[in-house]
Amino acid sequence: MLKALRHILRRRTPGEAGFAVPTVMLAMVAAFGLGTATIVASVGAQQGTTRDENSKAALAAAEAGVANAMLRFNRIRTDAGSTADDCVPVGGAGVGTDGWCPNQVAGAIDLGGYTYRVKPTVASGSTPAQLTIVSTGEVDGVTRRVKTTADSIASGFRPFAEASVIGLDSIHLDSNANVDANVATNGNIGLNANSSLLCDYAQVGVGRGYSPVGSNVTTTCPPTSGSISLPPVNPGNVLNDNSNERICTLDPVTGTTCASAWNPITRVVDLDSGDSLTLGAAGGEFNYAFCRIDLGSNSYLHIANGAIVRIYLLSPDAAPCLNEPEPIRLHSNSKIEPTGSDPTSLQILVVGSATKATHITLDSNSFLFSCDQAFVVYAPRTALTLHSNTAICGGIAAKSVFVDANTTLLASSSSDEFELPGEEIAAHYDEPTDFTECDTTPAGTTTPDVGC
Amino acid sequence: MGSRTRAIRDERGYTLIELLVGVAMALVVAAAGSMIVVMAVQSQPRTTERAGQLQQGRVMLETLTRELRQGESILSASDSALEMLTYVSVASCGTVGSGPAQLCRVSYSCGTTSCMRTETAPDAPVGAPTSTREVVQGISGPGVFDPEGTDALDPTYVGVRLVFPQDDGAEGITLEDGAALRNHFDASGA
Repeated sequence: MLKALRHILRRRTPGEAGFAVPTVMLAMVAAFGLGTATIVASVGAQQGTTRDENSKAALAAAEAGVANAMLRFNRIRTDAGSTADDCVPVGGAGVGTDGWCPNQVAGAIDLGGYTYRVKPTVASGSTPAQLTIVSTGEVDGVTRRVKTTADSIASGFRPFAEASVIGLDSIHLDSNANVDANVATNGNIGLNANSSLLCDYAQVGVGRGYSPVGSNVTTTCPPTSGSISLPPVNPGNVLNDNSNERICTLDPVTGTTCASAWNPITRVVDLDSGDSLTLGAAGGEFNYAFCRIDLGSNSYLHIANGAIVRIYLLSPDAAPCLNEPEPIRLHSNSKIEPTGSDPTSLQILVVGSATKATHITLDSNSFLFSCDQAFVVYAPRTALTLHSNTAICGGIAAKSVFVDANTTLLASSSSDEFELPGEEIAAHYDEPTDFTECDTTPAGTTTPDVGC
Repeated sequence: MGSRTRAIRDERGYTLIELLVGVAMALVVAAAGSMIVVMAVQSQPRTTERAGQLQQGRVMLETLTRELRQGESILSASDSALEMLTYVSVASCGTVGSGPAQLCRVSYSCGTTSCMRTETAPDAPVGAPTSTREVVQGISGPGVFDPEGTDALDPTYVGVRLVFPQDDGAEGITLEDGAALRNHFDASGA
């Protein structure tokens, strides 16, 4: 075997005796050298481009941290003016001696990661409560650090200024449902077969869209990416200071007698089939504080002509509404509407809970509001379900909105002007301002905004 | 013994044809290689200069977009000049040395081949510290800035485009970026 190999080599080697082999090898070495030089130069240039890309991605990651902080504070924090629980949304309790929340929050996006720390400050004089955020984004070793400050909204918050139907987590239109309004959500807008969304503006969450989309769906506007947050309802002292006693009359012989549909102890309005109850009176402004409104089939809850009525559905977190999961239930063919044609305002404000799930259900063929007047349901912590053939006209804000088959949901232009009531809405922060980019954190520094 | 003699006989010299072909090939390869080397050496200064200009352009874009992002308002804008109020991390506007971010008046002015950056205090009187420096050269100006926004007099976004032409004047490398004024909300007082 070895002999045969040696023979073959010996027979072929003399054939390669010319200059061809060294010349080709020389050419290959030269070409390899030139190629290497080109590759080195190209890689050098590419590194700059890659670094630029990473730098932009790192800034995007830092901005994602800011958005995350805003979301946490606007959706989790429930009170303002107290420093004891200022840091709850980012874990922990109160702020440290330097005014910053001790916990550093970390998160990730597709391209990289972010970390941030926050500094909440309470309102003082004409200065509103503020939230300062320092967020650092990092992508492949490239970091960008930004600082921004958001002011709290002291008053005048208009939740329906841009969209009349808001479902913070999602909006879903079942088959044949019809929504004629601008809509906004942080999730997807689902459109089942034959549903229609007649809108000028439809906001979905970042990376979300119309999904799922069934057959024969009608939409008149493309989805726009964005985020929306709603402050919780601030019931103030309505638990004790309200117009609930108006539902009762003072009988000089028997004492106070309340309408049979009203239980002042449990604070439940419970209309049996065919019953009716009128709230408010012409020209007045009334705040009611209930635990539940339960309208039986074919019952009517009327709002007096010319009255401005606010109905607070209190939180299930505390007495007297402890563990009440369904603050509003309209059974089939029941209605809430004004008694006449005079301008009337009804605001249904559902406090809900940060920890307990609550939901509102409108059964088939029930009816809420008239399109001529300013009616709103504001329930940012409560899921809203509209069963088949129900109709709502006005502004709707809920944790999620599910519109069942053949249901109609119409915008009321007058709901645009609705301002969320409350003594102070410091728990809600506006868009961040005072945006600055920071230098790299100096070594050994612990204060987050050094170098900003 | 016999096989060794045969091996020695096999190590005969190259034929004339082989030698001529080998030398010709070597000359061709050497000529091509030397041409490449000469061209590389000749273009090296220009390549280095161009790489420097591109790097300068990158730095300018980075600086400018950062200043735009931190900007409060655009005081004036055209495709060749931009003046804005923005936050700059300096000891004081128009001087060297870093410090906490403070509001300065920053302007960029681009000619046919270069851009200048000027920084001063927002309401700087005559004689106040002003720093002016060339931030990029080798571009094909002056169409650099592209202000956008619903109000033409008060843009909220500015696009920036730096075109580095080839030596024959054709469009070479383009660096493009842009930023929205994140602090514009304050400037309008809205």
